[in-house]
Parts: sequence; structure tokens; C-alpha cells
Amino acid sequence: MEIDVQVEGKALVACVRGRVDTVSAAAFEKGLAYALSREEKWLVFDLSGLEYISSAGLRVFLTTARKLKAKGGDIRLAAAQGSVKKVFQVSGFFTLFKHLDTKEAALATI
Amino acid sequence: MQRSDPPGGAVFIELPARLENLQAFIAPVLAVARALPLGEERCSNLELALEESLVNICNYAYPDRDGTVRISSRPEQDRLIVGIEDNGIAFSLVEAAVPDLSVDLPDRKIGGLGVHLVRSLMDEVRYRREADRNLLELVLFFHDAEVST
Repeated sequence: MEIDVQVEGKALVACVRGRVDTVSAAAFEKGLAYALSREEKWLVFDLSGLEYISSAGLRVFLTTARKLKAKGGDIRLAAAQGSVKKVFQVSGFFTLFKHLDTKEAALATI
Repeated sequence: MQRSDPPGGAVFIELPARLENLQAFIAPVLAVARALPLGEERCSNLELALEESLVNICNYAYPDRDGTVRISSRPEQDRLIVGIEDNGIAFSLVEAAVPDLSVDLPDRKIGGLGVHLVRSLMDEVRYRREADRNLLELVLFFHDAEVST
């Protein structure tokens, strides 16, 4: 699992690559701590490089979204592919969060 | 005790029910699955279902003692069947509560997603309690999820 967080305008973009499973979910959450400590309240997850996610990783999206919503912001999901996209869909995340085909499209919704 | 045959064959693995063994359980089963006509996306679904089922056992089956998990997988004519057995406390993944996916974020339950994913992504999930053992079976049909016998 690799995560990079960058500022793009008034939002943060977190690019997540590799696998977020039971073992790496804690590192994923830790990697987001920086994003949550900043004043930006919008966070776009660029999921184009995410290859695998399990429920431990999904939980991190839920808790992150709750924290940002408490500040008046939210998360956006972008570019999930293949089986990862299906996992988000089956988990009902596309009704909880907006999912766009690209990071740019997601940023444009903020 | 560990034994795994070449791809296409059966796999049998028994190891302590600990998270550090997750990959040791999952990798041999996936190696077999990838040699079968399932397709990469459904192999990935199987990997996820195995992780979720095993994590439940490692975290909850043996609250006050050590125990093991046994995984056996065997391809049959039109399907792959993966059996997961433990002799911890009774838990039916088939009947366990899952979160209400229609509720919005503030009310959305954090737990239960793993169970929901296993049931949604596998073609069949069967559970029975036999003596003091939990017997879980995950089934994937070859080629097409809709094929049924």
C-alpha cells in the first residue's frame, strides 16, 4: 500500500496504490492522518492504482468521511477499477459517496 | 501440517488461527483458482472472501485459547469449493447480521461489511455446525456465475 496526499486547489487528493487489506489498513489510516490534520475539508481519493481492498480498508473510508463531514466537507471517490470498483459498489459506497471516472471530474464536483 | 498440490489439484492447509498466517492460507488456494476457468475478477473476489472469513475466525473464534483453521479447496466438474473449518465458538457467516446499506453515513454501521462482501461475491456460501466445528463452504462456478446445477 502506498499513499500520497497533495493539495489541489481547495481540496486534497489522496492517491492510493496497491493493496489495502486487514494488515495494511492501519498504515492506510495513518497515511491519512496528515490529510485530516489540515484545514482542507474535501478529500478526493484517486483509486486508479488501487488493486485490492477488503472491509478493513473500507472502514477507513467511512471513518475518514465522518471526520470530514463533521468539518463541513466530504470525500469523493475517483477512478476505481475492476474488482475494486465492484467491492465499493456491493458495499453501497457509491450511494454514500460520489464516484467519478477521473480525479479531475471528482475535483470539479467540489 | 501443510500440503498443497500443483495448480488444478486439491489444497489442504491447517495452521494456527492468526492474522500473520493469512497469506499462508490464501496464496495456495488462489494459485489453484487462477488455473481454473474463473477469470481474474472472480479470483480477486475469492481472495477477498477468504480474507474476510479468515479474519473473522482469527479475531473471534477463539477468544480465550489458541486454535487452528483448516482450509481445503477442491475443483469439481463445474465449480471450485473452498472449505474453511474451525472449532471455535459457533458463528454462522450465512446468518450473521449485515449493515443496512440504504442508510446514510451518520447511521451507517461500521461492522458486518466483511460478512456482506463474502455473501455478495461468492456464488454460494454454506454453513453448518457439526459437533464442535464450524464448517463454512465458499463456492464459485466456472465461467458464469449464473450457471447452476
